[in-house]
Amino acid sequence: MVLKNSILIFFILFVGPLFAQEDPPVLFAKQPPSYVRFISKDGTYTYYVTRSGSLMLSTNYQASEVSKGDPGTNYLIYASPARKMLLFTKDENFLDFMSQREANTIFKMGFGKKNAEKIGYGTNPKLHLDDTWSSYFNIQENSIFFQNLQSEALKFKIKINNTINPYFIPQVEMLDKDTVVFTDLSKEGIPGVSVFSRANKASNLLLKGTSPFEKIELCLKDDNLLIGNFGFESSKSGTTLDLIPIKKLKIGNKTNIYKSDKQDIGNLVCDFGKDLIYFIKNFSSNINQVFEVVSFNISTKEEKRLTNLLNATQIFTMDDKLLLSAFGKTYVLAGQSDYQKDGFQKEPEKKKGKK
Amino acid sequence: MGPSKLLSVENIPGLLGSLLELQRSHNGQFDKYVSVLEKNDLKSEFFRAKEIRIDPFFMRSLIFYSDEMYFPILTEDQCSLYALIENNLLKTREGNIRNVGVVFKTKEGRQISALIEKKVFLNYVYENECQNQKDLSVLFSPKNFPKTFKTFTLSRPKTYSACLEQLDKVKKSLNTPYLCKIPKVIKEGKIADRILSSIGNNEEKKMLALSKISREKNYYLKNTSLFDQNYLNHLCENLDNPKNFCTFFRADDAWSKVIFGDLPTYKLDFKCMEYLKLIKLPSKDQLNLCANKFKENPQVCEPLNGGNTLYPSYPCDKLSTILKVSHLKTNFRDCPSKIDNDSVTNIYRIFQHFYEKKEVTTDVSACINNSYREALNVLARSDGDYSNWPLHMCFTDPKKSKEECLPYVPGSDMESPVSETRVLNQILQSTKGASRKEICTLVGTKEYNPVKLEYRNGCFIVFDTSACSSYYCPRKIIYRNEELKNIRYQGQGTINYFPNIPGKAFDSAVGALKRKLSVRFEELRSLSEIVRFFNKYKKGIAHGIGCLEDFYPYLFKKNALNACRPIPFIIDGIVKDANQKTWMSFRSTIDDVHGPHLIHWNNLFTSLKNYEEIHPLKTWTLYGIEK
Repeated sequence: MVLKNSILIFFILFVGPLFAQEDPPVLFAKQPPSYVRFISKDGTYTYYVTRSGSLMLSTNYQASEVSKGDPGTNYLIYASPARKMLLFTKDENFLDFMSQREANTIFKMGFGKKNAEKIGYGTNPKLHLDDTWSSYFNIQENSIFFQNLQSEALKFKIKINNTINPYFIPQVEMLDKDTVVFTDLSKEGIPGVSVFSRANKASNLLLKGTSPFEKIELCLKDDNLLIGNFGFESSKSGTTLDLIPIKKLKIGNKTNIYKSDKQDIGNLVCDFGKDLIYFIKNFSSNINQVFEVVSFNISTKEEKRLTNLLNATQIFTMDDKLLLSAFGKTYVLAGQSDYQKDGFQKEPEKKKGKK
Repeated sequence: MGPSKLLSVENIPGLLGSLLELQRSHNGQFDKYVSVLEKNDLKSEFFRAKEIRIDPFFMRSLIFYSDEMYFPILTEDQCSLYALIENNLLKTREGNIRNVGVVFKTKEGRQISALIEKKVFLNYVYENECQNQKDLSVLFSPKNFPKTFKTFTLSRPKTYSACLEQLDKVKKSLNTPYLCKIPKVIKEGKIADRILSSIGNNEEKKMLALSKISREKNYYLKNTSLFDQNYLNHLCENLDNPKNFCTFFRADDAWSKVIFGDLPTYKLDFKCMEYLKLIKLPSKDQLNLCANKFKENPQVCEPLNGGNTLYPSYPCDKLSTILKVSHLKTNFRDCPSKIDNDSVTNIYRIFQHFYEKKEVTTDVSACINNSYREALNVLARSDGDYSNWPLHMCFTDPKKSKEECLPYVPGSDMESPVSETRVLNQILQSTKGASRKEICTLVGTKEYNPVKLEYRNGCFIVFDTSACSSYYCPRKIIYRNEELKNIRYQGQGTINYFPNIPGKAFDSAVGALKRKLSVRFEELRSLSEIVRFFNKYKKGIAHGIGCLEDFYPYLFKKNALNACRPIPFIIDGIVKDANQKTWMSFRSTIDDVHGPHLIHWNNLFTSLKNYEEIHPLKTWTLYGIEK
């Protein structure tokens, strides 16, 4: 019996890892990976930053300047599957001014274009409704700003209720040009989801969480609003994922599609692949802290573990790519990874000695 | 007159009579006993007497009126009884004992009862029966107390059996009555303080008596530590309850450790202040209250985030686990979201760790001023050389006919010579002949209304709140209703925390910290190096910069390639959880300085590595600091 157990332990500890998933490929581009800010799916357009503080667009072996700044200026580019517009933030004091409530300048430009236009100051810009609207949050003003990208005159803002957490950033989804769903915090710090109607200029609470130790994430999946409720690491709230049809946006129409007793990190990605959503799942045991990316089919409820990195925490999409940021690298979980068309061969990834 | 003659048998209720009846009956008899005996002055007979003992009737009163918690000190030896009387630990119907009821045989062989002044009685019995007690009485007298007390080492027992043994020894010790006097005097002194604050000046006699008690309390507070006071209080209250005494000592939480002086009080002070909504530091009683609450109901700590940091905080039990190992000295409050400059917040925290300047304030502007003032001092190249500071006010000096720029810190800190309002006053003195008292007032555009009388005269710094970002806030200076356009603000609140431009290490905040605090930095590249650093340098801390989203992946999401919001942090201890997993005590600049978080090496490494990748110098930004 003892021998049997020993063999089992040997297999788990030493043989098991040999069959473990390999690390996903790392993103390779013509520019150093840390300089790249956006690569379109076929590699036609690459936006990258320079040490001199500019944002550049490289296309067809030609580079042109999109925005100019002082040395150390940082840029981040935000896109959507509509591929019509891009938003970018410009942080001129990225290296020498650190404030988590700082508002950066936000610009819009056509997808693959270089003519940028300032739309406001804030953080977390996002494209909505087939790239016809944008939103961003200004922490200092505690408001979400909405700007139509075709007509500058069309704009509105929503002041959120949160007063308890000075670092809270709401999640925002536009259902149509008149309806917005967003997350907020109550006076007690309990998260909730509100629905704002432009016609009524008022918000109604759609649902409320149960404790300050959870976060609510929102995203749109086909004709549904997906609501993720993720307990914090120190709580026992567990995780739930629910769908509500956008056309019947009532709490009573909520359908649960996933439930876990563990506190998953979340960081939902809903705009990549039919019926699929992605998030960071908690696989931790008493012995190890393990967070990995999973895909979840909302129709079949099939769940698939995509990584074996132990500490996958941040996923996001960039055109046709599902990316993971970890250990100073950008891993490509889906989509093309190597954009060095005339470059050298991709270096084989080292095993996890890097940690 | 013998004792039996004073009391008639029919006046004593039987065994079935209630205790209350018994006491009521005793009271009447005691009053009679005292009034009769007070008339007889038998002092001279007493000094010639033989076989002196406490009158059994007086003894009964002691049993009725004394706090029974002191009875375990009593031994067969009468000396322990005398010591309890000496230290006012026993009482009669009259309260504190002034005279002792005794029975003795006269020279002629008559047995008589008498009331003898306590001091006279004790002198006599100590001289004749209790020589050891006499010595102790001298050693514990106010004159000798501090020296005597220093020879005692009150220590927490390490095991339950050691604790029981310790209590048993204490009960038999002749010192115990003198030690138990200390918590009693402190308690009575606090009551006296309360009464003193409410009585009128016409009650002079009462005031004098209460002041004496209060002074005695202050004396013991001054000459004993918080640990001593709590230890003795707990000991004396549980002399007859070993289980209670020892269970308390087994408490291993940070809050109990603070109460027992094993951890500094600031670990509890500020959380307690917030919990009880106090505007000054909590009293010892309030600390005890908080410690008990935090233990009983850990959830009460969750909303306590200092008012301007990340919300919610950890529950008290988790916080306690971290605070036991965390050794950042935090005898101050800060207000990160109000300062909105993470470099200033972290520099101030590091400065405080090495300088330990106590700052207790609930006022937000004072809190901002303190952080800016000390950060400026750290960043100054030498005393008065603030050329490294990014914010300046520039004006043309009429005497020199050239532009001059003076450093300033935003706000109206009257303690700082370089606060915005004081620097402006200095400029106005030389350019406008303003008086020293003409200090400008900071006012928002919405509030400022030149039509109103209060804004017609004087000096105002008017800032547009809607145009203010956290690092740039344009202002107008209005002096006596005129906008002064020749005074201009220069610079933004930018600080290079680590060197960002090659060769500029001297001008970075870390360079300034090294210079100013005379500390040594050590690069830490792995968890084992961090563990080794903290094992080697018990007072050391580590600091660095990483990406916010990787520190708190459950709160902040990345939505773009190479997204990273740099944030400084401090690590100040290692925590092993129940499963022997290693965590670090961690405070980023959005965490409450009194509410550290736990961080796993995986998150720390990812955060540092991601920041290193996008940093122009590819700088590794985790360093241990030790002095």
